[in-house]
Amino acid sequence: MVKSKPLILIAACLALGLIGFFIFYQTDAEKIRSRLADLSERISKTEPENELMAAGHAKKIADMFTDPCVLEIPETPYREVSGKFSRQDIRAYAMSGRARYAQIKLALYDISIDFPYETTADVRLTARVNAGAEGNGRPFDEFYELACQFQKIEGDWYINRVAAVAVLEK
Amino acid sequence: MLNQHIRNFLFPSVNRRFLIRAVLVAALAFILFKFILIPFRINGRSMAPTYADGALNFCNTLSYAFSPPERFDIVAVRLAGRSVMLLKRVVGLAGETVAFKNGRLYINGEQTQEPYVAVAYDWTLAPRRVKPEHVYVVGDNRRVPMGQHHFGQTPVNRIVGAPLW
Repeated sequence: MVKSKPLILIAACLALGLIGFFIFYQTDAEKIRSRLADLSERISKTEPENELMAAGHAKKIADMFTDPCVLEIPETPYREVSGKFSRQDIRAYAMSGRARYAQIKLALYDISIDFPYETTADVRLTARVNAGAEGNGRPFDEFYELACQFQKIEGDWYINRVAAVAVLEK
Repeated sequence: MLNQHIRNFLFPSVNRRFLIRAVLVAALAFILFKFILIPFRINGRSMAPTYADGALNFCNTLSYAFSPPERFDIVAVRLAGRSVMLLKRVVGLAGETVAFKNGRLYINGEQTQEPYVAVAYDWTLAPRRVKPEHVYVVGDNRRVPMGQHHFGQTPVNRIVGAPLW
């Protein structure tokens, strides 16, 4: 009777550990989905921001990409984004892009994830970018089908490549 | 007697038969509206005046189950999935050449009448051949410059279905 107490404690600890594991453990696919949700949140902008806040957001966005990464999005309302970009480039691009719009909303739909290799993930999704004008920015509401590649580096997933898929070819 | 029937219809007794029926109706509704008649809301004026911005409709996924899309059919083209689709009109079929001259549509070099177009901007696009297993789709709203309108050829397997009305 006396010895049952430690046993109960051990069992309770094990049960708690198991519950914690199931709650907090994320598969690679879940990690990528959560990364995309973070990206959507970081790109979105609901109110005007000062330069310091904008720089902070731009850094957080840039930190989600590998250095360098490849972007191939030929048709954006802002300008063509095609080529290899360093994190510094992405930070500068995010800063100037955010300054043009009072509100930005990025919504992601139909995310599908494949793992051709253990440290590489191919992701297909539809992105909707909705931006309200400020200054010289033109308001827009555009949809893109994107083919992205994620790279696993030291346990974390980073965006290595983003390419717009041509759904309609003129 | 009639009152009893109405009461039974409006307030059925929750028994096993009722529960089975409710589950069946829910399952059928789920299958119908998830896979066969996908509800959607039109966002934008690409298909004006045929379809207004904000209108509600259903995408009938069985429309092209047994036959391919034909010229002037209105089709829903999927992007990465079915959450976002483009609503467009088929104007060119595989193997045909499509061109625009001063806002008028030319198929295989011949001008084609488009009664659904209200006002046409003076689009000019050199002739291009539609690839095999593709169709050429354009929106009905030609009031905008060509650069601001999404149109072009797309694989037939991207076509999810046609609007119900």
